[in-house]
Amino acid sequence: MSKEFWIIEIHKKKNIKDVFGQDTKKSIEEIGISEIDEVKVSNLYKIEAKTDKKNIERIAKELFIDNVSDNFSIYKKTRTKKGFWIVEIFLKEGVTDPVGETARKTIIESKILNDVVVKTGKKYYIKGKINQKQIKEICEKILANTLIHNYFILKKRT
Amino acid sequence: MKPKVLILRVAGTNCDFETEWAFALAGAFAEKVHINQIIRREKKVSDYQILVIPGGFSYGDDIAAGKVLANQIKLKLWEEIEKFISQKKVIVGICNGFQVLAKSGILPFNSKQLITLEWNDSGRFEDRWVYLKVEENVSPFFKGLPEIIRMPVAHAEGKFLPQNNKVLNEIERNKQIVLRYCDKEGNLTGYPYNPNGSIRNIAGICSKDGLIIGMMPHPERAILKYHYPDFLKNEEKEEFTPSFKIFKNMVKYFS
Repeated sequence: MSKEFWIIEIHKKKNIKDVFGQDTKKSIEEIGISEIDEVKVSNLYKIEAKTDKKNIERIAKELFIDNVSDNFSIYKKTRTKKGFWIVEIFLKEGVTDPVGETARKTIIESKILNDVVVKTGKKYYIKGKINQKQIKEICEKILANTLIHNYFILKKRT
Repeated sequence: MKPKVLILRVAGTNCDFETEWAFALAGAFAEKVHINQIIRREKKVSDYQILVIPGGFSYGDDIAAGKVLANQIKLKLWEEIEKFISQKKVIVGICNGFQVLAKSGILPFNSKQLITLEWNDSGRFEDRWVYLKVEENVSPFFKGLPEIIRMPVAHAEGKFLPQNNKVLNEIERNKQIVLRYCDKEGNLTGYPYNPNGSIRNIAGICSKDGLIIGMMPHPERAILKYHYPDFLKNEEKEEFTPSFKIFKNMVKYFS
């Protein structure tokens, strides 16, 4: 079996306040982009290992999520979402990822996997009347520090 | 008997010295022990009567506050902790320690995880003194405290949330709530008195038998009257604060 990439996305349950989403919306409005309806934020864990989906599910359920407030999904490729721009932020190659390292160590300690690399990132779902130029501005001024982050934009699906 | 207190340290713990000092002042033998010393069998949890998970940012709060240490406890120390609980010994989780007890399921019922400490409603780290109402509760460690006390809070993830109302009602029915955020007069009000938006203003709870306690406020930072931010203005007669009584009560429990 060769090494594969899996992404675990952890997001708040519907009844839980997404404080980071609300904060991000406020920050976007502060740079003069006012037509934002909603921002939701998820945490991403990119797992590189020789394993199957079942083990990735175990990692998410047993080690990463908060059973009371979080939900998760697992996928290999990000899909678009109707009505939302999607932005993914990851650290650039070579930048230390201490959270990823902690996550890797907790996976090894659990013995679910013994050879794994974890990279962490953020995913933003942005709903509102904004165009490609504005979403780029949001990425560069609010969401990413382009010195250390790469960002990827997925166009809104109408 | 002078109880032995194990103050569990991991990377990112930062309230271990104050906690050790408070227990020593209360008459216990307190010792800071790193989790690796237990994993390497250099120290045994069973040699102690009180286990404290102090405040701090264990493992940098990576993944979520207290989550990694909760995983570690479940993976590496579970057998010893279960035995400790069955022997009616005492476990205390302060701030980050409470997050660990909640996320490992030790509180409220020593089962699967049923409560959490979520991000503060303000989205910010809240660091200040709060008023707390001492509830009628089953824990022997809050006996003799005045109805309203003061302690500092310092957390970003402190909003008490139960999985559902059934869990919440059961905790209330069992008298497991020990502290609630309130105003100066003891009214249960909202922000800023409730610093994080906790459901029903819950600041601290205990186990069904009252021997495991978890709280977001820091009693170890409110031991002497001089710790109060306004001690020059107030003419406190007592040298020691009501929070110190919690430590005294724990030591007395084993005497």
